Amino acid sequence: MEPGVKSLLAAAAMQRLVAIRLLHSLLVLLIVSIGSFALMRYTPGDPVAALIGQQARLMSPEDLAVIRRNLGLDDPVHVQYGLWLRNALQGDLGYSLGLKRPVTGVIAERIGPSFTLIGISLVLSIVLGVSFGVLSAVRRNTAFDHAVTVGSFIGNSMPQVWVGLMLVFLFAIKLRWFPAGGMVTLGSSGGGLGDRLEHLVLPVTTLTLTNLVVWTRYQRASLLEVLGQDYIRVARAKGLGERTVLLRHAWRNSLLSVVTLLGNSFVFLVEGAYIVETIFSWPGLGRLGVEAILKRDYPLVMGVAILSSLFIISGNLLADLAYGALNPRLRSR
Amino acid sequence: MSTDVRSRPDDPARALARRARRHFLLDVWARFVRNRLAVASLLVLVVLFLAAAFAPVIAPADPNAIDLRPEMNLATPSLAHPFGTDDSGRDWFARALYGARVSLSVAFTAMVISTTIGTLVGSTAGYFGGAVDTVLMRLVEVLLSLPLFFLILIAQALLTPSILNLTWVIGVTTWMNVSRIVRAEVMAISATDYLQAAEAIGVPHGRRILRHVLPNAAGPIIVAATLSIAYAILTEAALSYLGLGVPLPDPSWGNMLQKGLTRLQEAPWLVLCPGLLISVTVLAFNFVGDGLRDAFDPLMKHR
Amino acid sequence: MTTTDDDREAGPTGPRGRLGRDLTDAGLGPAFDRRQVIRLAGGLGAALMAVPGLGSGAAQAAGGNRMAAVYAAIQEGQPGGTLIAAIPFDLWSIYNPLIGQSDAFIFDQLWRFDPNLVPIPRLAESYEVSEDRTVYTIRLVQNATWHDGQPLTAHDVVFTWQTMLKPDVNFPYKFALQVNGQDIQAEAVDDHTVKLTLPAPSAALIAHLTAPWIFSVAPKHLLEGEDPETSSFNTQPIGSGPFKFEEQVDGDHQTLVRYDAYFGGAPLLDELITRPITDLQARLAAFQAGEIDVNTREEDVIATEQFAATEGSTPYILPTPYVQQFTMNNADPVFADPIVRKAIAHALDRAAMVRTVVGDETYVALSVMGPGHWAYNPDVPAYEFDPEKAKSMLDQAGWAVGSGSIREKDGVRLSFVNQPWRDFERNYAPLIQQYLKAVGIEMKIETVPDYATVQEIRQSGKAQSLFFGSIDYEPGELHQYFHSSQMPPTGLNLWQYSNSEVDQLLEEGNQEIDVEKRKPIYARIQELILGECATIPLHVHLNNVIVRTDRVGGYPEPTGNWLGVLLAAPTQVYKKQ
Repeated sequence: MEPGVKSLLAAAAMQRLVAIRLLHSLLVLLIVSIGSFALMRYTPGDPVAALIGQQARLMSPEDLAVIRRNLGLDDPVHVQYGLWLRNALQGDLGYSLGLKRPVTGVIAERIGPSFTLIGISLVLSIVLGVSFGVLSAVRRNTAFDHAVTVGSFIGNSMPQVWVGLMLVFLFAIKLRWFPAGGMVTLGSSGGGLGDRLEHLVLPVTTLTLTNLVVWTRYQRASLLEVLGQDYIRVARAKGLGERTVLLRHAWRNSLLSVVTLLGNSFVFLVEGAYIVETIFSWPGLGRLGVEAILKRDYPLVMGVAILSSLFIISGNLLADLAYGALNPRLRSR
Repeated sequence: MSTDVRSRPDDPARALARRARRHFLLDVWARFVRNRLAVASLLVLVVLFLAAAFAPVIAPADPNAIDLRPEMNLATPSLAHPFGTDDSGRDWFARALYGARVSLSVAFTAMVISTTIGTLVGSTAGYFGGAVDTVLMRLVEVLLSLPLFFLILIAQALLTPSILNLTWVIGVTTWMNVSRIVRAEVMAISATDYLQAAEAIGVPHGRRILRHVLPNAAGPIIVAATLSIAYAILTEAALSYLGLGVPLPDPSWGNMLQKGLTRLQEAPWLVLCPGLLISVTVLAFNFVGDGLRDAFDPLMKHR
Repeated sequence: MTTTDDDREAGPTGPRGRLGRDLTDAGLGPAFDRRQVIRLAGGLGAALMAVPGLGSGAAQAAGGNRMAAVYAAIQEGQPGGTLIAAIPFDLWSIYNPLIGQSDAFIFDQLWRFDPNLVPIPRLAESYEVSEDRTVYTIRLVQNATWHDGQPLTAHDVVFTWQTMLKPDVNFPYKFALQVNGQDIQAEAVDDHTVKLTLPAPSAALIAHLTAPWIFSVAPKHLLEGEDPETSSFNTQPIGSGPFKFEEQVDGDHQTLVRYDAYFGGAPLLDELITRPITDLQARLAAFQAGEIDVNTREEDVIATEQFAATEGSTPYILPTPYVQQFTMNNADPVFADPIVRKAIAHALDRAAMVRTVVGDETYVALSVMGPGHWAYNPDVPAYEFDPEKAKSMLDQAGWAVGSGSIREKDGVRLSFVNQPWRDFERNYAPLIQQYLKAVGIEMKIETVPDYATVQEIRQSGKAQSLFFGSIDYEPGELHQYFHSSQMPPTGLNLWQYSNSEVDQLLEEGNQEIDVEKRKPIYARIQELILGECATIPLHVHLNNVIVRTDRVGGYPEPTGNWLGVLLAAPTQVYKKQ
């Protein structure tokens, strides 16, 4: 076949793949939204009572009923869901019962801090993980390899809440090197880049420590597998330097599984940092979601659940696409 | 004439099969033992399990016994109380032992639940393929698209906090990854000549899965199971921090950690104890799981 | 870790007025008793009394400007500086007094509680009550303004009042603006005079209106015609209080700046920043790292001492009239027999429990309200710790020890379920369980994970035993908790207590305006409730504040039940330069 036709076919195949995946993703999102909705509605705990609280001691049943009606809590479940869906498709995720603000606005506010915290930690994890993984694979079974293995496992084995508070105790209270929480120093003195970076050190360290092992192990295992392949042996036999073999051929192919892992990591952008956000008073999505569940704030829970599902699905989609793009075997099909 | 080689006791194939089977596991064990870290971790786990099992014998006091005398309030570690006492005068060492029972049994049972469901779903999907595979894997995908931690949270909020509910919740929310691993393995094995041969001589589906497919897939399943125990222990700790874990007064490492954190600065030994225990146990499971993965891999690709 | 719903529960507020409870230990209503006034001691109170003209009856006549003069006379600080306060729960996301989401510094009220819990005039310069106690004529200060410069008038007050009462507006405290379910009518007599017409006398009216979370004045010119839930006003609120809203990052902080034209005198502080930090360890760490100037609403002595260990800080331990109680469902067969309830009370070593959970046994409570409150009855029956007595009481009443070492009689086993929710409740439960086990009563513990479920359990009326509390600032609140008409799901009588004499007394107390005549009524009510041991009081709720006194000035020595200096005198606190 001529190369032109080949690439056209490949492009068409790619488009079909994307279309199918998109359709699947939409179906999954729909099911997720129905599932979350049903789960929240049938969970015990009345949001109105929870939100108004004991303060409304003398509220008459009529007043409470009015509030329930105003909030739309009296309609049958499928009607409520239908309304939610219709609004959601137009970009309106409803009003948070507890915060009394549009859900979209609340989430939009929290995305920034979440992305900053988790994004930086993710980048750090990947960079460090890939480096350590490659070095470990190349120097396998040496003291370095063992040290990296043990070290990264240790980080993963400790409960995040323990790691976080220990770091705060040591570095923020005893040594006074870093602040104990928050995003910036409040008042007129704070806000600069240095200030923000200072506030990021401890939470990012906590997150990275606990997640590093996955990247390290994946990269190491993947590179080892690739290094054992025939074509690497061919390249070596051809007389190419070890460096060239490594960088040009082996490593790039080993990135495949790392990329897959990246796709799975998107979910951490929402839920993975809940504990770190609580300890370091970070206004992120994880904390928002968990508190919304505990308060039975239905619209907010739906919003965060759909958002995180969106992240997971798009993460997987991107990983699939990247896999297809990176994998030479798939590309030429 | 029966096709099953085992019904013919004198058949030389049977002796061969027996030897091959035995050798395989011994092979795995031999490889595992070479990994000193994994062996050491296994020993640590054995010690922990024994301590948990014999908790009633070893514990110096009733773990729930409260003693409100001022001298028993946050007592520092001593001979009588090796790990000190908490703010209600409870012996922390006894609580650690009984807590080991609770945490380890919750993790183990959750692992059994998730591995069973995962294996069932994964092997059915991988073996039968086609429509069955598509439907099951779409289900898995949907479930994986739900943020896991929220799922656990919602489920725990739905159910009264109890040890049983906690076990179910963790088990039912973690089987999806196992099913994916199992499915991949089963698909690979089903395509081998070995399995095709079994099909050719007419071995029925059920027996084929149980006798031929699963034992060969056992490696990755065992590895996944080991790692899921580690994950379960950490999840129990995280849920206890939220107050959704094992309810008081029963001890678990998770709620001991939570209690210890409330007194971090006054009585740091209270949090060191469960923190270290959790870390060491999870670490041990990780090393054992890693060692098992290396041991089961016949091509030693990762060594 | 119980989360941010704690603010809806126990106890009075600290310097922030959000959903807390206010307290008073002095008389309410127009007839101030000189004796009560003299009881005010220390700090601001003494200073107030020292200024001629301020005293009984005249307290309500003193204008806002006079207050400012007093504060100016005793202040020593320099203007400027930023104060950072920490609270253990989340702030509101939006602010609008019409739906009950007010802020104590942005918005102003008719009266405010001073550090000694006397309602002192704010926007309401003075008021008169008619003979039959059904018409209140309130005169407002002349020079109060909104943050956008517009004058605050009676029309704003009336607009706020009427909007809050509208059926389609979700204002949660309509009861404060009603008597026996009927609306109190408000009208503007002129630009600075408001007339309230009550359907019947109400002893608690002024107290309700002074509670900082209930009635704040909203601007008519900005909110008329707007939907209070969704108005754009809510994210950039304009109030008339001493501080202006600057910005808020949800979950992180709120920044308020000084309002120079505040009628009561401009505050000394440039900025007031509030950081909501729900996790205790995170809050403690921030305080120790020096990132917080004032930490508020700490509930127990143990945590307070940890904060106070930081150099340069001073703790103020402040008990409140709110009492945490171990509730027993009187209608449940297990608790129906008063002997059982009294035996339970004797079986518990409350001093040891309070010492363990709260940190100091001084705060053991004996009645349904705290000892500092004027309506407190010190002579209620006290069930001292005596497990032997408990056992013999039960034996004599026929509760014989049966299977599993649990007592039973006529087919009823003394085994019940207790459902703790908050941290201190979970700390109490195992202790109580152990004490009861020793006398042959079985208590099973089922922890409740979150506030929504707790509410549902309370409303179901089927709960056997919970933890609950009563009264923030007004003894009349006892009506909601102990009147037989207030059973769940509509009411808060979780004890399902029913006593016709108490019912009658509660109704009487709500009508009686004279403090001296109210005291014996509520004394008798407490006697009856505790006499039947309908509930077991545990500890007096604390509302502790820890201040970095090396950096913050203007906080007077706290007295009385509750410190609300920042609330009552926000213009006085300053940052040491």
